[in-house]
Amino acid sequence: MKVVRSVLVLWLTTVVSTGFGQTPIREQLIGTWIGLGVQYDDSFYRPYPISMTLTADSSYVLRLIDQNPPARRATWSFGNRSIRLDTSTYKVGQWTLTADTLRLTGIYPLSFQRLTDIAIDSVLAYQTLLGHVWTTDSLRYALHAGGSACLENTKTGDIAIHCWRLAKVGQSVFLVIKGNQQGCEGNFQFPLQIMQVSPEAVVCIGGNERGTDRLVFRRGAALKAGESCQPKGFQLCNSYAYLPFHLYPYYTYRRGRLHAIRQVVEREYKPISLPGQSGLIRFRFMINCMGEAGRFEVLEVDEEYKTSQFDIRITSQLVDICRNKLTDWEAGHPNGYPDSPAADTVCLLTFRLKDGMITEIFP
Amino acid sequence: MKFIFLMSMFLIPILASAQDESSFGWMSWTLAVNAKDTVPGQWEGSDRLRAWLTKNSTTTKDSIRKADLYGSRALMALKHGYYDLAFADYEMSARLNPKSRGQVGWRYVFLLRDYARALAHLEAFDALTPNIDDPIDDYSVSYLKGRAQAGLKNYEQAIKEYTVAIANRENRHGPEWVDYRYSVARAVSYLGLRQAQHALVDLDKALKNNPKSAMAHYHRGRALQLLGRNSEAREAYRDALFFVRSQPFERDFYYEQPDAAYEGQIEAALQALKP
Repeated sequence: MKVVRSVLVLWLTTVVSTGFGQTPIREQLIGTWIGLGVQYDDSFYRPYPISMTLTADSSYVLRLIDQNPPARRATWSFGNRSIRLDTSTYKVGQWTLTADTLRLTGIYPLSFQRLTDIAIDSVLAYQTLLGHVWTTDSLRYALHAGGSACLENTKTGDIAIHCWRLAKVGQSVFLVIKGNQQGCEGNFQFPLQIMQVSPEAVVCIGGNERGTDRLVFRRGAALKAGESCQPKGFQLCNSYAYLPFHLYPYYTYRRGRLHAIRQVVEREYKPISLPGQSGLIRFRFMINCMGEAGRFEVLEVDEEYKTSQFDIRITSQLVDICRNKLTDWEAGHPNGYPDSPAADTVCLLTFRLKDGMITEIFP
Repeated sequence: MKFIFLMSMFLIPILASAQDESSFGWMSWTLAVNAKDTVPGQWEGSDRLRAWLTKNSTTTKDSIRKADLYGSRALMALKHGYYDLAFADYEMSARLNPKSRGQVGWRYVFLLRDYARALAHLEAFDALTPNIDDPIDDYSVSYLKGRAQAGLKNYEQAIKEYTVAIANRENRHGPEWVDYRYSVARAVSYLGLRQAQHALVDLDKALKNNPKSAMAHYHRGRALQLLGRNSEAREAYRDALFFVRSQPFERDFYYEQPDAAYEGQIEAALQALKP
């Protein structure tokens, strides 16, 4: 009986892993997949605006969602419960396929959504969107002629400059927002597939860290002729900067580095002798690729490194100095390589205090 | 295994940041690298690595290993500015393994500028092997004790400690193998006591071992100025200015050398010496 059972298990295993079980999965994989996101950390995703097409004749086409022609053409296959994409093979356990979602695990886990191809008239969509303000629950999009797009956060009032365009994948049309205040390349936002267009509303489906969401863009005011994007507030060049990759403690402040910072503090800080006001006040902030500082966070700890609160007369001065007086930052370079392009970086500036007097300033 | 772990912590982020994360090249690279490296990245500073360190530090029974894990988690917190978390972990690491107190002291000297606490840890570490100037990463314990003493403005004590560190290297390998930063550090302490002649001797030695050091030239200028040799001081400042502009700044990855010379500082010194 045991022998029969073993033979049966062996037969089933062989069939599932080669012929019988293989075909449905291969068929399920055929189609166009849109990158939803790449996961850097448990709770950090960034857009992955890729379109990956797997055809029945084993051809594999990979391209950025807004670019034609494809950047890579190769072949794909499915066998032994492994997915081969060009020369990369994802073995069993490295991929999961559930309904319309394909996940590829690895050092940078990736998730894809099967494209539901919905025919949209791209000319009509473009003409509808162009030259108007469109509002979702959290953002206001001003889509200008010439391709610039202002994204206003309706909660904070900050306005970021990007570019916009429509991209076709199959018969579907995607609203692609990318670029920054320096130009239209890179810095992709999660792409939005347009599902429905009417003069008053545009319905989209977009990827985000949770999967996909339905977004309704409601038409607002028409943009005036000649109106252009004006930024407001602090804007990163890379909206999805993953902080551990951008830590750059060795920043440059003017030519003088820490010496210049110390001079500014010496000039601006009015010492207040307050016994017991001792410990560290640490500022963590970002310097964008243009050398502007923002997103300040403050940590205050006492001499025993317990979080505490310093006298407001001390902290308010230091906050003012960091936000408003130290304004000559130079943009950092990833990993400190001066030849690499300027990038957004995370910086620390710490003040050690003894009885209200600053005794040390360090990164 | 350790190599793979280090790769994932350091090399992969460097590779990743070398390319624009929005480029097609980077996106196709992730597809390729994922297939080869199947474990989600545990970058330094990531929630994943922190969770891994936390889990392992609570499950391991080996106190030495536990101390290492607390130390790693502390450094990660420290680099990202979470000083409260870093301190708690460092103190735990020090309690679990007295040998880790050297490294804890190192971190407190340079990354927290907490000299009194650093000195306590470094002295406890040094007391484990009293007659040996033990290395702590790329420094010696005596040098670090000197740094802590100098931070507390105890220059005489600092000079004693630096002398141990310098003599140890001189005796073992010869004067040309003394780290020039050690000589500059002792010279700066001599300057703190206004003993310019002693400082000058050390700075000349430092410049023999690193002729392009802007900070050595700068402090040499200070020593010469104290001795009233103003034209030589001016020349030393000019050399400092040349090297600070033409050479990479003197620093570790995470901090500038405590004795570093800055362009504005050198210019001010030159200006003050104008006839």
